[in-house]
This record gives sequence, C-alpha cells and structure tokens, in this order.
Amino acid sequence: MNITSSDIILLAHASFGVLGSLAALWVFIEALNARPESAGRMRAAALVGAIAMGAAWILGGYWYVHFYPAEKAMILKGPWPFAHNIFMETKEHLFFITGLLSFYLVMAVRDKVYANAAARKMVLSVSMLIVLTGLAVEGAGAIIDHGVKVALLRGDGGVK
Amino acid sequence: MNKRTVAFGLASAIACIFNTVLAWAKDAYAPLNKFLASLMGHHWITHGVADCVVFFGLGLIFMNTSIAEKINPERMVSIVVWSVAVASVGLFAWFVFF
Repeated sequence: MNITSSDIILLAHASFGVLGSLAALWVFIEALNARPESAGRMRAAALVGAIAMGAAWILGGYWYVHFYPAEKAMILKGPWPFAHNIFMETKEHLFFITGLLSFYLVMAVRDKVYANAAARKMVLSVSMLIVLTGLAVEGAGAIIDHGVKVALLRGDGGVK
Repeated sequence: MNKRTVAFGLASAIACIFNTVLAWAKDAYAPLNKFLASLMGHHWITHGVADCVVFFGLGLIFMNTSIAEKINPERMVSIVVWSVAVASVGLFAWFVFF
C-alpha cells in the first residue's frame, strides 16, 4: 500500500465538504420544525458545518496550490480538458460561496428562528443553498477526478 | 430578524457577487491574476482572503450603521437567495462560454 500525503489531504478535503453539507442539511431540518428547545441543536449543527467547511477550504486550498498543477497538466493533455477549463475553474470559485454561506449560517441561527418567520426563512434558504452549492462542488470534484482518469487511460497523460 | 442577521446577510450577498466578478476579472485580465498571485503566493489564496475581508468587513460596517434597519427582512432573504443564484450561475456560464 502506498498512500501519499496528497491522497490523504484530497480525501480529507472531500470528506469535510460532505460533512459540512450534511450539517447544513441538519440545520435545514431543524429549522423546518423550529422550536425553542431545538435552537441549541441548530446552533451546534451550524457550527459543525462552518468548522467542516473551513477545514475543507484549508485542505482543498493546500492541495490545489501544491498538488493540482501536475493533475491539471494531465487533464489538459487528455480527452476531457473541460474537466479543468469548466469544472475546476467553476468549483474553485463556487466553493468560496459555499464557505461564506456556512460562516453566515452560524450567525443566522443565533436569531430567534422559532419566533421570527423571516429569520426562519433565512436559515432555511441559506442552509439549502449550502447543500445545493456543496453538492455542485462535490459533483465537480468527481468530474475533475474522472478527467485525470480518462487522461491516464485514454490520453497520453504523461504515462507513455 | 436581528441586526446581525440582516447586516451579515447583506454582506454575504455582496461578497458572493464580488467573488464572481473578481473571478471574471482574473480570467479576462491576466495581469490582475498575476498581481493577486504576487500578493500571497497564489491568486486563489488572495481571492479567498479578499472574499473573507469583504464579508466580515462589510458585515461589521453594516452592524454599526443604520442600513440594516432600513431593509425589509423578507426582502433580505430574497437578496441573499438571488445573489447566490446569480453569482453561482454566472461563474458556471462564464467558464462554459468564455
């Protein structure tokens, strides 16, 4: 077995992203039935989500800066250059939106979500936006990964 | 909706649009990309830090001004949702068509 630091960082980045999205989904479900006694759980879930997204941001950023250039070169030489030109370019910037919304959710859940209809609507909207953009980012990650795979299998991918 | 929720909601809406406009500008004008890279070693790092500065900076400014009190809370929800939708679709469309 040969697991490199690059592998661990990349998988941890994706895992924290999924955890952050699931935490946002948890907040959404709590907000659907917002009551005074669920406020603590909602705040805890939002905090877990923000910490997870922060970790995904740092790990993903480290991997992107230090390890991605080699994979990018492979993708661009392979049969799926759009995996970088469209999906990585979108993902690396869309993730900022997911991250900022996760930080904002921590503040929004401190409002009286169970008593204020507009505050509840804000928490429901922001948590669902985190889930949707989080899923889009995860999906883009899978396409980028496949871009490397098809480059190695079908393109020259630097392995000839 | 309390002042913090409105202030940072507005800040998040502006930061999302700022993020997309900066991504467009970097892609369209290479010297800007190079300049951002020269500040912190990589354009992506500077971009992320700039987004955070806009979000937290504007949020704190709005908290300490009356602007948050002037915005209808229901309208604030729409502003956040539409800004995220426009910013997200704008990013994808840019890299598909340009």
